[in-house]
Amino acid sequence: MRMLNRKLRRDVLGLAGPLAAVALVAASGIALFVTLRSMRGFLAQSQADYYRDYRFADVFVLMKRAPASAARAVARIPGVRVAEPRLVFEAVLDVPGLAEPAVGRFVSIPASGEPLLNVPHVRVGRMPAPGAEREVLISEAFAQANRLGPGDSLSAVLNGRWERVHVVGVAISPEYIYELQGGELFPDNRLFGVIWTPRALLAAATGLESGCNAMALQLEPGAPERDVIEAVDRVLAPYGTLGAYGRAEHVSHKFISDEIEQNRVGAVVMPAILLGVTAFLLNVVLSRLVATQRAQVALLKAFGFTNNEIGLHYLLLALVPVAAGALVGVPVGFRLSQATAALYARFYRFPVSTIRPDWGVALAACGIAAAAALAGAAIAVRAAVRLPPAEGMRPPAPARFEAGVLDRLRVQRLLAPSARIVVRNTARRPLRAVAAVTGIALAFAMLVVSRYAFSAIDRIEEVQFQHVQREDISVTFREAAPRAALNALRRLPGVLDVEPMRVVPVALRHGAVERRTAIFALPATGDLRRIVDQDLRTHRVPANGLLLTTKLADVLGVRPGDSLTVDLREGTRRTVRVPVAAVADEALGANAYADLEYAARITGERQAISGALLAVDPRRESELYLTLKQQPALVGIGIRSAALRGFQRTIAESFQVMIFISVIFSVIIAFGVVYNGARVALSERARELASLRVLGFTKREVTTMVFGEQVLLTLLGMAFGVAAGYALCAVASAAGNTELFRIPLVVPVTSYAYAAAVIAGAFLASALAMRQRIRELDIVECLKTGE
Amino acid sequence: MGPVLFHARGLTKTYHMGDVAVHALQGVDLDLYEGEVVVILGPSGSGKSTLLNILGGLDAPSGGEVHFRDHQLVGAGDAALTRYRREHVGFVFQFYNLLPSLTATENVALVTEIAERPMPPADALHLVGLGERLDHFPSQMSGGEQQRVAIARAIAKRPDVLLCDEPTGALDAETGVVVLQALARANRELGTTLVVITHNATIAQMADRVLRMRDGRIASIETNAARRDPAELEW
Amino acid sequence: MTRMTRRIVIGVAAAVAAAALGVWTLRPAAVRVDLVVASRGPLRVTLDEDGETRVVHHVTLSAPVSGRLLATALEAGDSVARGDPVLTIVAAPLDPRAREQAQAALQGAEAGVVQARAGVEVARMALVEAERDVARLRQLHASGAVSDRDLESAERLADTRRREREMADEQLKATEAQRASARAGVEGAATSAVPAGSQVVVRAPVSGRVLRVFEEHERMVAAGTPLMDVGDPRDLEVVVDVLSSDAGGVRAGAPAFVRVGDDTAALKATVTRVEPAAFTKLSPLGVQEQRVNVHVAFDEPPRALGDAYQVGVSIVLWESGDVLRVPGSALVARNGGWRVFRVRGGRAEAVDVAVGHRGTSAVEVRSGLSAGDTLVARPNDLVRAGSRVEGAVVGGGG
Repeated sequence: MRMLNRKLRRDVLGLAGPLAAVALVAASGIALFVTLRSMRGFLAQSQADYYRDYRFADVFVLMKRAPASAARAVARIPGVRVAEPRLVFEAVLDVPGLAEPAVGRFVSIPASGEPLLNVPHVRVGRMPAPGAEREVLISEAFAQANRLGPGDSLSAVLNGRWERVHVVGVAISPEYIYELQGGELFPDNRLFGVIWTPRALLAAATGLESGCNAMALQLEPGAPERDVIEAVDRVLAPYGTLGAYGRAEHVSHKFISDEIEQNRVGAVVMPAILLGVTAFLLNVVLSRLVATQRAQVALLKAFGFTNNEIGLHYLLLALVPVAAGALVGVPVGFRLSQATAALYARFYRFPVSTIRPDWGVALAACGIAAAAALAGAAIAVRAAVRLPPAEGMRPPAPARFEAGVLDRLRVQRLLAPSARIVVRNTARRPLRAVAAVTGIALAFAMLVVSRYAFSAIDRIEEVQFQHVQREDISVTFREAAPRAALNALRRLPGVLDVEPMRVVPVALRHGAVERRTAIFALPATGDLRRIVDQDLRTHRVPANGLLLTTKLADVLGVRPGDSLTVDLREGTRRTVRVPVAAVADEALGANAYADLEYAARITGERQAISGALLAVDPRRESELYLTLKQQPALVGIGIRSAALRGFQRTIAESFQVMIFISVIFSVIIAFGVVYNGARVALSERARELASLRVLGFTKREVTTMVFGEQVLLTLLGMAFGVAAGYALCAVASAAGNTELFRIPLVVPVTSYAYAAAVIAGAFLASALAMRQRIRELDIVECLKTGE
Repeated sequence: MGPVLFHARGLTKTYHMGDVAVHALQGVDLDLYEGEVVVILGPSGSGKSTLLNILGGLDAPSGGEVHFRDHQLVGAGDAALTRYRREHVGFVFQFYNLLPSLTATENVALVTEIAERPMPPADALHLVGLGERLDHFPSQMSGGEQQRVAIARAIAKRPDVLLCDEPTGALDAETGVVVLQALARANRELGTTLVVITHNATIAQMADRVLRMRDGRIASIETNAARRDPAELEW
Repeated sequence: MTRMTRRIVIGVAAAVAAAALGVWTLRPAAVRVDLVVASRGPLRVTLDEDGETRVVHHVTLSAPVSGRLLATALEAGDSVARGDPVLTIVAAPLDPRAREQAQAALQGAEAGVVQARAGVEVARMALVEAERDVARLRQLHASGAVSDRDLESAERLADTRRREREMADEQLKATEAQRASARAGVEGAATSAVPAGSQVVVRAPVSGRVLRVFEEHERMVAAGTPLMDVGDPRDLEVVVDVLSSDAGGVRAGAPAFVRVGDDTAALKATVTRVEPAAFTKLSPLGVQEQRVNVHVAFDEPPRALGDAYQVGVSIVLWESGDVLRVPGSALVARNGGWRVFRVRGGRAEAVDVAVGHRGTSAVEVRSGLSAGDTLVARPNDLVRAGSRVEGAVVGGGG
């Protein structure tokens, strides 16, 4: 076989251009596959390791106040291995160098040192010394956002007066991978942080010397979580518990698990597309090659090479670009996954960040790519080797031309002869044309989708921060406040407008489905917080009943007109039946809304409000911040501009990287498909074009003919690409439909324009490359050898 | 004359080019003997190439039967025909059909690698007088040289029969003679049966027997009293 | 036209068409907004606080002697007439301590009388002043120097002062009756004129209703223990505490509105008095504040209101009948002033305005706009000068 192999080598060199294009696409597919699948494994593993090493609890519960005996009672519940009581207290912070009021979640650490569960891992500095009441640990994200470190001090209103605490260490904890203030959607590490504090200081602030207001539980392996949670709720019922919950409802855990889940989808779809295109391109390249080597194939058969030997020769040819792609793609994939892993590790603050190259994944990627390549090649090769040699050595019959549809329509009179050739040629080989159009449509669709992802995020941002949240600051009271508090807020410096709001923690039940959430009650004539759906329509709170986000209604299985059972989780703790008055297709969250008066009716507490929404004069912002820091009754402060920044930062760091990568790959595919198409067309028709040149057609006219066909196919491809792009966006939108957010199916015209621009650019680039080859077309040689 | 090499009875072949049906062979009976030199003459379209292709297992007849020694060629599967060609047949075509990406030596080696008892490629090339063109590519050689490479390629595997379709068709007289000399030498020294198709009647003088074909049939078979050396031929 | 030229023309036309199409489809979408309209009309700047109703003049009946208080049949809300028996105490054997207590009760009653007398004096002087004001303002009003509203305000105040004077007189009578009762207790203690075991009846010193019963059940009480509040519930005022910094802008005679519960209909009232001294109170936000009590009297006696009801009070600090107003939500703060986005022809234009008084939901605009101008309500970051906007008018001005 040595000669065949030499032929293989020489052929590869001769086809360097198209094969390189295929190799590039294959490399992209392999690299993407390796990156995404390695990431998923890494994230899942890192999460598991982190949780295990730092003893992330299984069940969490908050209550108003419970004595030490309650903690002991919980520890005795069957299935509970460790029950750790602790104190949790949120307070407004005065952070040096920060004008805005920040909020700190103070979490107690026992006097004996390290807690049993949810252990903070000290990254800088040390744990507070036993007996040093005012030494604290702060969370790393908060420390970095505010440039704090050991030696700095913070103040907060604890105990009704300013207390100063001293930072001795910076730590991370599996409980707070995502540090999210209650009610916020995206973390803002500047304005919210976790502060691990010696118990003694918090005991005074909460008035609980020996009791606790929070517990963390670790369960025995295999213990049924639901049963344990029910038992815990029973034991803690007299102490004002809002209900125990497991990891599934733990905010930080949910966030990172959602992220890992989404990686899973991306890890399948994108590489599949890329590898599919690889197969397609290889088919095209090899069909052309085998077609021009028709006579050679026949000759080899004439001399006794078996079909298998000849077929193998060409299949090896198909594997060459895949092998090249693997050689490039696997290391790139490893490098990319390392970089992405480092990014995620920094973002999630995992204590370990090394990702080991997963050779299993790499092998799988190469295997899949090879399979795709062979699939694409086999079809072309099979057709060629089955030809009887004698037929192969005959010059191919002139292509069959009949009077086609267009001819009958007399359209051809409108076209110049060269255009007629273009149209007839395209119509003659429908399969080839369809394949090319499909390739371009697919590339176009991928570009649309990648652009769409950006615009979807912009849309979510616009809806949430320009239409839904119109307040400048939202404040939350530590305890339910009377309406008179609104007057007090109105008097604060810079406050232009105040609207009340109320959050009622509830459990919604319909049939077998239960969801623990909160009813967000707004005044009927409220203006500062609105309910806006994905079409930018505003919904008003209903006078009677609840308005649900469509996602929540779907999860519960209710429609407007149905009734829900509502368990109030605090206060009177009643159960009421409440009608679902309406649904709204919001983009973010899964919420339940009610009128403020209606909420007052069903809870039986007329006067209470949980917080307020403020419109603020920006020129007096700093004065207001200073005042807000000094109000002990406030436990939460949300600043819309900061929330917007938090959203942008979260999205930028987790989404945009992946989207950027997929944009790059889409562009690569686009170039690969378009370039290949042009190159193949040129080579196939070289003889024909040479004949035309002999007959007196100029180089420009010949070029036009070749490109005429390509332009026609590209335009058709783009037309179908619009539909394919929209369909792909719909798939992406459906895939991103989680309880946390929905990706709105809003595909702006700019997405299509962008995709068209890229395809057109690819076309022009390949046109320039082709021009060179056409110039060099040696007419005479072409006529002689047909190559 | 030696034993029967080919035995063909009632061969017909019809094939379709586009919308046209061509009756290339309309009933051919033929016996060819080992070691002989046979020249097939006839105008274009008389079915010469078709007959040659069928004898070489390159094409299957529409009807009739053909045997090589005791192998039935008609009805043999693709794999059997391939093996037949590999082990027994060498081809020389009008348009050389060399692999452009291989050198002369490599083109010959391509075939010797799969042959059972080949001669070294260099020897075959020397035999056709191309000793100093061993590492040249087809694009660097004249038509005659390319054809000689094709012959070297065909004889290097020491086939039982050499089927040549218009081997001198694209060559001038002088080069043509050189090519025919190479073929004659193979027949003389290796005992290879030669079947040569040509439209050039002069060449028929180098044959043992001359078959004339017309309209898909064998019009006549003549035996030459004596074979002439190709060097003596002029056209 | 040669083929070449025709080709060029077609090519250029196509390019221009494509560019135009591109520009039209790629332009940013119109921003969805709510619109409000600037209008002329009344504007009120009010100070809003929560207050509590209080019966102005009420008498606290206390035990004249020590002894066993018998259960009373009276409940809060029952009517009593002056002289009706309301409570009965079975006198206990006296002891020196009881005597001292009776003495103390007498002193308390004396003090009450003195205070009531002072109250009468204050009311009398206030009335004189108010009547003098009215006379003066009438003259000025006749010459057109003073508005109708100011005159009405003064006359209303004079009426109120008159009523207060009457009430002060009543109060004086009540405290005098109280003193008589206490004196009887002391004399009884001194002379043991009230034998142990005898029943001492306490009578209502004024007509009205029982406001509060402190001791319902039978029990031993010492002399001087408060037993019952009696007063005229129609004699209601509202006491509302305002920040001491706000109190300076509140004048007696200022009109006010009182809202009960969720009723939107507000009762008309007038500020009668701003207390001179402030006290410390914890705000709902948890900080200590200095507050001053302001007394507000109803213009018409209210129905269906009792003592110690929580009400919302809006004290009018300034009002005008005809100003150009815009909803506060239309204003955007700029360095050096305010700006609105006026909508003309589907586009927003930025207009700097000068603002005046700021009411609860509407703000006075002094210059920059005309009545009927359509403005963007709560313009978000997407609304900029020149942006295309689309939306409907919501709510109204003021």
